[in-house]
Amino acid sequence: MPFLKRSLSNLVTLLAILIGTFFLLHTLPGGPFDTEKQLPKVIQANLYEKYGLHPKGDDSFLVWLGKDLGAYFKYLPQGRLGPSLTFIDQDVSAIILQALPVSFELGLWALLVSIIVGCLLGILSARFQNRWFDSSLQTLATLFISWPSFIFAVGVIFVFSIYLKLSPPALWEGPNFRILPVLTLSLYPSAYLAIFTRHVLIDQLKSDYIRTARAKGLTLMQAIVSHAFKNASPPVLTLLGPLTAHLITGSFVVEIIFSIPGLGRHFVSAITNRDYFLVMGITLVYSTLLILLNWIVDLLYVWLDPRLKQHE
Amino acid sequence: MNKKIPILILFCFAFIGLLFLGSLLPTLLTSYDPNAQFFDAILVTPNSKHWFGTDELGRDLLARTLFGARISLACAGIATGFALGLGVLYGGISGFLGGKVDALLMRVLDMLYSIPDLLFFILLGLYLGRDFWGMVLALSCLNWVGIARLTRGEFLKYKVMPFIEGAKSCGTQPWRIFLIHLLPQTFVPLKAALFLRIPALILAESTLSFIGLGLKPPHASWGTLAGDGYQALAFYPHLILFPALFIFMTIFSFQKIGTWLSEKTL
Repeated sequence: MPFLKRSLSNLVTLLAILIGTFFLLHTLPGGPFDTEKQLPKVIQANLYEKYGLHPKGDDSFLVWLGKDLGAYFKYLPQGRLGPSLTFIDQDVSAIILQALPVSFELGLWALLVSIIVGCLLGILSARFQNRWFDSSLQTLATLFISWPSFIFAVGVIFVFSIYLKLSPPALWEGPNFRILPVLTLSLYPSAYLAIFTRHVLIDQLKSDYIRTARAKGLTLMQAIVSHAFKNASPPVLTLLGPLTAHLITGSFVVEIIFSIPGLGRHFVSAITNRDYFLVMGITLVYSTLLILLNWIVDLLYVWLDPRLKQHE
Repeated sequence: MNKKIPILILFCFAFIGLLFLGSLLPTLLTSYDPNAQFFDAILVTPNSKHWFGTDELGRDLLARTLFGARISLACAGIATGFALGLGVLYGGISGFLGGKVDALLMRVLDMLYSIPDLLFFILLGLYLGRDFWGMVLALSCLNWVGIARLTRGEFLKYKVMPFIEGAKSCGTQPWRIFLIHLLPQTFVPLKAALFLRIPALILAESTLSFIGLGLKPPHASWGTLAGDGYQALAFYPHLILFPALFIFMTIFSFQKIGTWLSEKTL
């Protein structure tokens, strides 16, 4: 049962990531209830007590680590990921449910934009192969690939928000607020797709069936759109896996720069505040997404190219 | 086989060479100390005295950019070196031994592949202290996986070749086969991989430093400089222009050379 085996190994992976995160997070210097002004000992002890956590140094290292791990199991049977330590009276799952749609929307728009722009430019590039349009587009795309997203973000903020005053530089309130972050996030995937689609298409254009299509009177554009693109789409589709992974992890930089209230921004502030439960919750979401994505990509490979199945 | 090196690649090599020179011997290009303050020249735009201008504390930006290059390049370079060592060893052992050991080691790699890397980088960075060596270690911890895969692939490919069988039949010790016969086969593909790894690491380090989670002051990499400049983007855009330009040019040059190398070996 490859399905069962894969599910099991994915579960092990997830557990390993969570245990690793737990270990790193809890052994970080400082604790969740450290404030600028030292809290009285009794209050701090009460806070630790309330959340089932334990201050460092009271027990030996392993005992303390075990006790802290136990705190998670206090909430898990109730179906909770635990309370947030910084947002009073808010559950981690509630915070995640609030932030996830924002990140999801950002990622989805970026994915859509990059697929449309990338494939379209790739097709046009292949159509005008080795002409000025193609070469300038490909040069531009290679430039964009090595353009760090944070520098691009700064650039678009400077041009569109500060200089032209067309779009707000931060926050996430109306459609107008979506433009710059989505643009920033989709830059790398669109450029990559444009180069890759062109590459695959040009390979296809050399084959016999394209000659046949051209001979029966199709224009080059028609032949690309109705024949070549179909055969070029499997490799392009499989490339979407790594690109989506890039969008998932890349989104948090964009979220921070544009102050978008998504998961990534919560993750960073949760780490600096040692909000243990929240960090673990977000790590759970991110790793689950990435693991599922890798799985889907592997399934997609086999689905698109059944020859791979026989190798297994 | 085309022996001619494209002009663009030559430019990239020249840029990286100049950058190395500039970061090793910053005094060739500037006589200023990166931390010296000029109180009569605070936040001045580029001029003949301060080529890149100065920041809000009156520090010369050219000097800061050059010394920042030192940190950015050293960080990425040393981390790539560590990642290379670890990756080659891991992938080499995995490919060399094969069988159950290989399967197990590859499972671990698959696991590491699913880690949200930038997020772990933040955690590791905090854990290791956000100083220079902490960053180097955190970067190398997360970047050896690809190198290990590549090395394993090469080892598997060459392990079954006649020259290895020949060596075995001569009674060559396994460690000699590993070091002298198999390891050199990985050099060519790894060279291209290296040139592609370094910009990825420069990018990761500068991104985190930009959002304030990378290197702690007084260390100032390009990312830190750009992050500082971002605060005053609307009024003093020159603060961010030069570090950003250098990050971009460096990443671009390394990537171009890397792609060129990997296409050449194909």
